[in-house]
Amino acid sequence: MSAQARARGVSTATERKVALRVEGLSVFYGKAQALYGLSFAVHEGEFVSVIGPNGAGKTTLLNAISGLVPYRGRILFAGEPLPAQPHEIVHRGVIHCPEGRSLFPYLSVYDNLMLGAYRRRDDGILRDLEDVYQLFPRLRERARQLAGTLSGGEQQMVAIGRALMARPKLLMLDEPTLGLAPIVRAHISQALEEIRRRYRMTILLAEQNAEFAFRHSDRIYLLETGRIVREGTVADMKEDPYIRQAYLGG
Amino acid sequence: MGGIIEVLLLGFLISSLYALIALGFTMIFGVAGVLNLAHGAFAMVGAYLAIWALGWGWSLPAAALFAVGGMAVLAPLVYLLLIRPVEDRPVIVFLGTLLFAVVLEQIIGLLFSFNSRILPPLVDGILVVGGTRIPYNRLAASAIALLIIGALWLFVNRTRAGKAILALSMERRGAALVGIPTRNIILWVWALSGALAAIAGLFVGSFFGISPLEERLLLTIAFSTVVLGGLGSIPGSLWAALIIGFSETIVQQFAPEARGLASLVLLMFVLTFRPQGLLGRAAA
Repeated sequence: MSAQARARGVSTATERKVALRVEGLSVFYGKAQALYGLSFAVHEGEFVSVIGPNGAGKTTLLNAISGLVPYRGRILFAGEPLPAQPHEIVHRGVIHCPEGRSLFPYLSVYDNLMLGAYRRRDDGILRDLEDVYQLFPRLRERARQLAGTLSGGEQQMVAIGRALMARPKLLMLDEPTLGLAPIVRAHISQALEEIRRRYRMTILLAEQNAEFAFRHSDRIYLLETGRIVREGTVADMKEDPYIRQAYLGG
Repeated sequence: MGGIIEVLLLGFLISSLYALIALGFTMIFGVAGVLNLAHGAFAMVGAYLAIWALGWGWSLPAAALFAVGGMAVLAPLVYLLLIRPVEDRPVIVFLGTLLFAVVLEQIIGLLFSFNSRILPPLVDGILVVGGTRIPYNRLAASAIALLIIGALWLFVNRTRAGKAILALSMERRGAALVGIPTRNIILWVWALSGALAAIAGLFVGSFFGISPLEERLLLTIAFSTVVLGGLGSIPGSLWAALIIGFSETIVQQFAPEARGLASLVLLMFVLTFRPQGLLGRAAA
């Protein structure tokens, strides 16, 4: 944990060490197959997005990595296979901010944020809470309010803040702007840039909104019906005629 | 004057008894998502564990500890062996726990007979206030119940483990994703629920007497309290226990034969106008 704290503000842009490696990942829901042998990697400090239409398997992919659904294949983090139970995976620093947020609706914003640090024993928790409040000043105002009574945008802020409280090495975000008004989306977008600048963490984003993903990412994977059909840097992918036509509105 | 004190004290005693029975039941529903129809049987078995230990010549406090500890071990075992394998099928869980309760009734009946037994009082003596005779045992029991409920409230709201239990009862996936070891916590909640059931069983055993078939009444009490308060809501169960406990005691003063009716009428009104219960969350 303290190594990560030291890494703050230190440039890691030139590092190409693999943070997350997924090899031959398949997921089945009963007899239906959702993912077909996916293989890909996310490097340390990199921002990678998985884009694709609704039902392509983006959420299933993140759920497999965080241990919520069983899978075949291998998922390695920092060179070692991830354990099976979600709480053990959290302990490795792989933090999932899920679709639909999964907040604790009858607990206060403060309690929700502090539960994000549930597995931590270090003394930096309150300092990180202060960081989250700086990132989302609205949450400081609403600290005593029940999370379930917040607006959608505020709930999303709590969800991202709760994930940050775990001090992620890899932060996985699932559709963080789904259903939010443009002005709130811009706010979340700004916060993501700030998070990247401040913490230099590795981020894996699952996003249906291709423009949002392109704005933030270094590299993109395009997922369609459970298979990776395109991959590349943002610059390359923007030139791809299929992506331009199907995902970026010509 | 004496009548009022008696109603207050008895009402409070009955309420705390109902609260103890209902709390374990509602926690299991909230956290594990299981409607445990063997909860009344857990309370009954708890009382018989104490009766068993008393038979070996143990003192009452030692026998009570044995009963509470015993149920704290047995309840998670029942969950592991009987419920977890069929957890995803609510109807099977429903029938399974109901059948298990009947099996426990019969086993205890064979071992101890089906006659009602009374546990000896914890404290002897009678306090006389304005002509009303109040056994010290009732006062002691009320104090103990209050302490246990208060401690439970503090545990759930003020400790890390308690917050984890609350979080788990609200959002299972979210709890797993912040690193709460959900399976372990569920086992601990079963242990807690078993211990609370045993305490309730001891109370019933020492005030009203206990028989193997009594578990059905205990389950009914747990069920109505929890439904009135809102399934899975801990504060809801406490309020509901107070309401049912006091309304039964008050009705009993005027029309003893209608005692059980009060809570049923209340329950009917609540279910008609507020189906999710007093503090229940509107069905998700």
